[in-house]
Amino acid sequence: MLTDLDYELLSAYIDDALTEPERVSLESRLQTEPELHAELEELRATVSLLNNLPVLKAPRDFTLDTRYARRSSFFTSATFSALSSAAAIILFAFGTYLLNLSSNGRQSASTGQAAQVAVASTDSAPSLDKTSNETPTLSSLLSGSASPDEELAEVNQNNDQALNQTIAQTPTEADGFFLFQSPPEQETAASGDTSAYSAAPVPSDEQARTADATETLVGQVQSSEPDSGVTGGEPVAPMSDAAGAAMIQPTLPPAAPLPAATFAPTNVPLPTQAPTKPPTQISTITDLPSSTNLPPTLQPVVVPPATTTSVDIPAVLLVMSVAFFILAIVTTVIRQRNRL
Amino acid sequence: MASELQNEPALITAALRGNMTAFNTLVLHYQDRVYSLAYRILGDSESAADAAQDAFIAAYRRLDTYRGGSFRAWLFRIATNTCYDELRRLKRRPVTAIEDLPGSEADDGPPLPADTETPEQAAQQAELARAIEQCIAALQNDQRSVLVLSDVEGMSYQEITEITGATLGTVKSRLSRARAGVRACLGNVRELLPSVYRLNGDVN
Repeated sequence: MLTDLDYELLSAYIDDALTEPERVSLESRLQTEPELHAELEELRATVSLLNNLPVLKAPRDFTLDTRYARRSSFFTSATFSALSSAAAIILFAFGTYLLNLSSNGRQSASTGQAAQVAVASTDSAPSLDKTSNETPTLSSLLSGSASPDEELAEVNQNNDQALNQTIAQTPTEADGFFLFQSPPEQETAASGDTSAYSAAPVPSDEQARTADATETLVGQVQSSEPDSGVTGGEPVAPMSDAAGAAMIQPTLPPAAPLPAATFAPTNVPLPTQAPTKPPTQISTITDLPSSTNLPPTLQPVVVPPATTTSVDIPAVLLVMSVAFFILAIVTTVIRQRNRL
Repeated sequence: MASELQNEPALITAALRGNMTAFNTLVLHYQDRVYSLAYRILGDSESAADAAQDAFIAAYRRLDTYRGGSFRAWLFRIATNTCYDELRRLKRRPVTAIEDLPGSEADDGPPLPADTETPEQAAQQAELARAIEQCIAALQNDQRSVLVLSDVEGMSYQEITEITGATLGTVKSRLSRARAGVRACLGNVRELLPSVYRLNGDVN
């Protein structure tokens, strides 16, 4: 009996679809194997019969009547669905981006404002945290601290740590990459309770930038961070990016660990600047109430109204992106159903 | 194999612009072939008629996907897919029992050939065709569609890969098995129709 492979060779041979070596090999076999040769003839006859099968007559006409005439509109075209999907993606990305921004802003006041607040010396750093941004944070901080004086003392103690921690914790757009420069550096600088925060071991060559960034960072971080940085505890997940750091914010316990900070002491000129800055800095913060009775460092910070309004825009964008996405799906479904 | 429409590209263009008359001209030209294809894949004329009608409706709606080349191949692709859908829907499976083969229903004899010659030839053709149709219907679905497309409708390997979505190797493999299956099936029938077979069995 012939094998399947034999039939494949014969079938391809009939269609002249063999390679040259295959054809030569088969033809020599055909000479020597009568069964193979006979089967070839049978197959050829079969194919010929099939070739000659008549075309069957349709039992009726299959012409279409006008009800099948369908003008495809642009809205059911694939182009429209694709555009709608693209719009949905863009709106979603932008909306999420703005949402992150506003979240960070809320936590750390506005970036600019935070930066200025952050400029406050390391002494006042922790207090700056409290003063700078977030009303909730501020209130919590204030409630947590017995008095401004106590806080100041605490602040002084935990100066570096707080600064480092806050800096590490406040990932903002611009500051993100400052924050998470080099973990190893952090280790060296940190006194051991270094949290996972890669507290922005800012390379020395970037000090100038760091200085500015630090101010920003400190303000933001501090605002977001609860006061005492000492505990250093929380092994925050490696903040490899700003977004990640922003996310970490909520997880920080009140006694958020302050990375021993490579950051603060060595790289940041903040300490020197801090003492003189706060009053001016705070004054520049538009939303800060002029409650100057508190030490500059502890001036409460009101969440800038801008922050709240900016939340609306991302929400609108996200809603629009969902609407476009639904539109894309609906038009695609309609188009596919039109196609039987 | 079939005569080509003289102004097919113009008809297609008009149909794309919504000219239903132009499209129906195409339908009239191709409907026998589409019906034949559907009949031999599905095995009974009622399903074949439904599938052919569905195929033409689908072809009209998806006319913008025709990118030139063989309109027949493009049309057959739609028709084959329509038949596949019908097969899946009916969960038809190949059976070798004679009673399930086409032509066995009392009320639904085998379809008439579109062209008939003399009565004697017509009778012989019908007899032989019935035998062949039975053997084709006995094949597995995949093998059967490839065989019909290739040997009955004259599609090339390449066209068949595009129509069925199978690879070239798969097409060749299915085709060879289908041919071997029909050959074996006819081998039995051929003994009953020796004169007819010899009459029609010209070797290519």
